[in-house]
Amino acid sequence: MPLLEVKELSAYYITHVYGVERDVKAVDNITFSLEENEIMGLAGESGCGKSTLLKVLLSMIKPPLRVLAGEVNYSYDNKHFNLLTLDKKQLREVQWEDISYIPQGSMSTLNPVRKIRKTFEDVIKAHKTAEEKEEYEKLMEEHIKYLGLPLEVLDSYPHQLSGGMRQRTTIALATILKPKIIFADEPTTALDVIVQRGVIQMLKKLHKEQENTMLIVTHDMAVHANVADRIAVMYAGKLVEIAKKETLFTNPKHPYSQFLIRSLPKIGDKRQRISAPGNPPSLANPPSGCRFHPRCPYAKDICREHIPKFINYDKSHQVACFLYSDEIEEGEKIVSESIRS
Amino acid sequence: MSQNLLEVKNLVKVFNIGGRIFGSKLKAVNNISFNIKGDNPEILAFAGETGSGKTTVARMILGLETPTSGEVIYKGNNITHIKKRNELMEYMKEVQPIFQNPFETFNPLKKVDSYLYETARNYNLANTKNEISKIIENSLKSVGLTLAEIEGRYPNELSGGQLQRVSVARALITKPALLIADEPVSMVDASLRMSIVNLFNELKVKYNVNVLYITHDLATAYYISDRIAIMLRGDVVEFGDVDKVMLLPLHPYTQMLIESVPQPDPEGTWKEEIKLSSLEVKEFSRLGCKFCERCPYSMKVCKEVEPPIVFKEGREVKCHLYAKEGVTTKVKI
Repeated sequence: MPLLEVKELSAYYITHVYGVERDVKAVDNITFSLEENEIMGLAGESGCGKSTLLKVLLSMIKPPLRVLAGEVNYSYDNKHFNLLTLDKKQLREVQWEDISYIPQGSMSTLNPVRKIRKTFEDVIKAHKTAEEKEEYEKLMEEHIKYLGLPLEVLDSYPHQLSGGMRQRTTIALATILKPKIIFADEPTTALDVIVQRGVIQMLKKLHKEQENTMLIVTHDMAVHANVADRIAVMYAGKLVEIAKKETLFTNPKHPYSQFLIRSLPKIGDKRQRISAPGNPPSLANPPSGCRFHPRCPYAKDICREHIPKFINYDKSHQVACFLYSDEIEEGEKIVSESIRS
Repeated sequence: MSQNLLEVKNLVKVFNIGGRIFGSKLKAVNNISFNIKGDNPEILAFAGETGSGKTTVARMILGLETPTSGEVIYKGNNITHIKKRNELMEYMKEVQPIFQNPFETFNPLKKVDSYLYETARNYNLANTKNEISKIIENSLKSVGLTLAEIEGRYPNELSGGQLQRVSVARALITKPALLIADEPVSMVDASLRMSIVNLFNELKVKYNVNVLYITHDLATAYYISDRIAIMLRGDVVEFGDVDKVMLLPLHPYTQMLIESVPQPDPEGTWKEEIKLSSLEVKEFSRLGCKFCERCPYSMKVCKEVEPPIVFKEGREVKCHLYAKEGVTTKVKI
């Protein structure tokens, strides 16, 4: 049984301001699963719903974001539950302890007026009750040392650390309780290449030694090539392709993934790179049918009218494109009818 | 002898941090010299990490920052001493900037096309509205847009890629000889990034525009540029032909940097571990080589004496390793 199973998940930002109704279809009918002890990379450009998907998987749902349909099933250590049906107390037991999160932009995640030590204490106190102070101090220092950070980090304020150090501290904070699954949102964006390499190294080490599962979200395909086992490509709120890393880089099936892979510049190779024509669509008013069809060189009539189903191309390769199958996705109608009921 | 288009001589910029008594000094740009010939248009890349001083170099060339010492000479005129308004206009007409974040360069309350009209009017390029529209239409055409597409639109109605194209079109209105592009693609969506990068190449070939391309993304720098300068904490550590510098780097820092660029290739993952420095700020005030703390070949002399610039294998390297004779083998990390 997979560790995480997402079934037909739809989450929209639904707003109603001054009589103007607006639905932003950020996550639309997404189905995938995550096996134990694997690293999955989630790729896609800005504004395609990657971060929203993470929010739903962590059950950090606040209006105007609403989950309209679908299940998020976790199963590990004889626990099986749908995260979206848990109440506040139950959520608190699993969040951070089993399901952890490395937020985007380490600049703004740490409290600027508290020392790092205090932030660590807060985390431990909230989850481990009735423990001696010395005990968690020890746990904290061991974890910091284990990740190769200097102990002085604990007694500094966030502004005293460089961007790379801050990012590594955030990772330390997210992994101190040895979670089962970690969601990392753009962990290396805005870091320098050498620091980026250090952070990736650290994530890999954690994965190897704590044997956890990771979902890493980033738009940088080169990072995926270095860490992920499988890669999922998202476009305008929908998953368009999931494949093993090697398969996706050598033999991408969806036209969008093909453009994405072929446009990557490489040192030592000066051949002309071409990016996809057109512009990414707005999620508030996505194109009908397949959302990539206005930019797709292979678009057919069926693409304009119907949404392609996310099918199994082969055992470990899934794709949503009419080039490979004529199956039409259902469920779109059901969701759009139930929005404002 | 033909005149250089742009000549930068011993450029230094020192920022004062803090007050007059307790403050400290930060040398953001340390003695940089380079030329752009101009007779054969080229793309010159400045690459480096955050805080290496690459943006400060660009700002000094644009005249937005006054150099502490050194000269920026454009077509024989020292631009740091330009006082007269019409001379300054003449210079600004020929050297145009493109900034990093297209969502910040445009005022969200102003229509996008108003920037184009303003630029045309400010430089007195034409007198009637029809003529101005024609100029704008032409420059938009060269970036692959039409006036109809952007007329009357606000920045939030356009995508990042389109806005960055408008930025480039605005810079092209005055028919500049040199574009200074500061991280022009870092905020553009992945699927559109290469179209902007290709645009610079097209401008170079079709319109004879020189581009100073400032970036931290070494992969696009390799893809597009003819020459490259690698910066580290205010120093240019290696400068030369892009194929030579990036495929056979000599300076230990360049070697480490290029080795660390993640390759979009599942085969080419990193094998060995690297050490990260925790003392990033302290490297600025170092007397000798700024890299000596992290360098695997660090010698005693590196800590004390600033390394000389050595010409070697068709490029400039700022490293003690090559200063002595006899060291000719390529070092490996």
